[in-house]
Amino acid sequence: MKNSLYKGTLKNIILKLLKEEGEMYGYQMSKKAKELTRGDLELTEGALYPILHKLEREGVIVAELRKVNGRERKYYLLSEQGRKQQAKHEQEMKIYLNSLTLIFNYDK
Amino acid sequence: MISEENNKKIINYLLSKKIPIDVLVEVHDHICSQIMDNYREKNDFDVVFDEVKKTWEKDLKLNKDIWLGTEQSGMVRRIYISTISPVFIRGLLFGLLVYLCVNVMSLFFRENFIQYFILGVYFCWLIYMGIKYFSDYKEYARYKKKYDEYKLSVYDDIWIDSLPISFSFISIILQIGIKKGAWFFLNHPIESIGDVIYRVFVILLFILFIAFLYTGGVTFNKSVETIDKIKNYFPHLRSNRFYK
Repeated sequence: MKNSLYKGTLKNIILKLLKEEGEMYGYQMSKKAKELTRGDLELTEGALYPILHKLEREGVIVAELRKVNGRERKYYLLSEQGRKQQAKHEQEMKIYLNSLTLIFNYDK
Repeated sequence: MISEENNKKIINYLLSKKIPIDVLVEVHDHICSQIMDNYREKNDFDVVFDEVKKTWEKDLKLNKDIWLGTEQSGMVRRIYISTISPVFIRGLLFGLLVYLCVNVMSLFFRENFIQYFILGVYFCWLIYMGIKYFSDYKEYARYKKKYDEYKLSVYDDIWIDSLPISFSFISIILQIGIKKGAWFFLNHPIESIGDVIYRVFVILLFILFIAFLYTGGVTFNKSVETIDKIKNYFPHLRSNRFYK
């Protein structure tokens, strides 16, 4: 499927992944998204990191640096504000997806 | 595990793509994880590294930035926009608030007093930045000088650029604005369309001036905060040969 169709929802996808996993690093997110969508969603690095930096700047997520395998790894977690925002966005996404299903199941 | 020699190849590749060091930290980890995942199947670092580089090719391709005159990749440009623009927008709102306050002040004080007040605030800001740079942030200043060919963080250099920009704005404002009372709306009635255009121009300059001061201050503090997070990468950087 075209990645552009996911474009407006990447932020919600990242927040949902963080809600379920608790904490994640960049590569883990792109791998998980690919795995959950059976290879359909390629969360490209060029799209992923600008969104992560924006969310961090806005205080929606917080980052923690940890040493893993001798190198620094940046883990992301939802902040309190992020948790509230995620719950709200998830609700909105469900309504949106439901509406899309109704429209695309329409068969005269 | 990736050997020290191969790790160096990855870091040198990323440095050649002019990625700020704070972004490089996580991109480095991302690439190492990708390599380790694929290495199990192919067992040849160079082959796997070439394949991984291909997946990053589009995002890390260097293009000349017409505004900054430097080379930058698409991914880094997007990170800049997503981190700096909210700070600048907040600066604009702050500028608007300051403008409104100064206008209210103009009802109670003479315009000359306000002119000196604004100049005073500006020079206090310059002195504050100078003191912070040379005292509290000595360590940052030292690293900045030592690794001057690199951008240590996304916020780096933006505060340096904000100084001359804000200075040129305040020069224009003080020369053309205050003397004619052009940007005081409350106690200087508007007489013609030209008057409106002129005032809007001066007010925009004033708000931009405050926005640049604000952005400079915030990005300066952010640059300093980042140092601790990237220290481990300094041994991989080439230091300034004149630095002792």
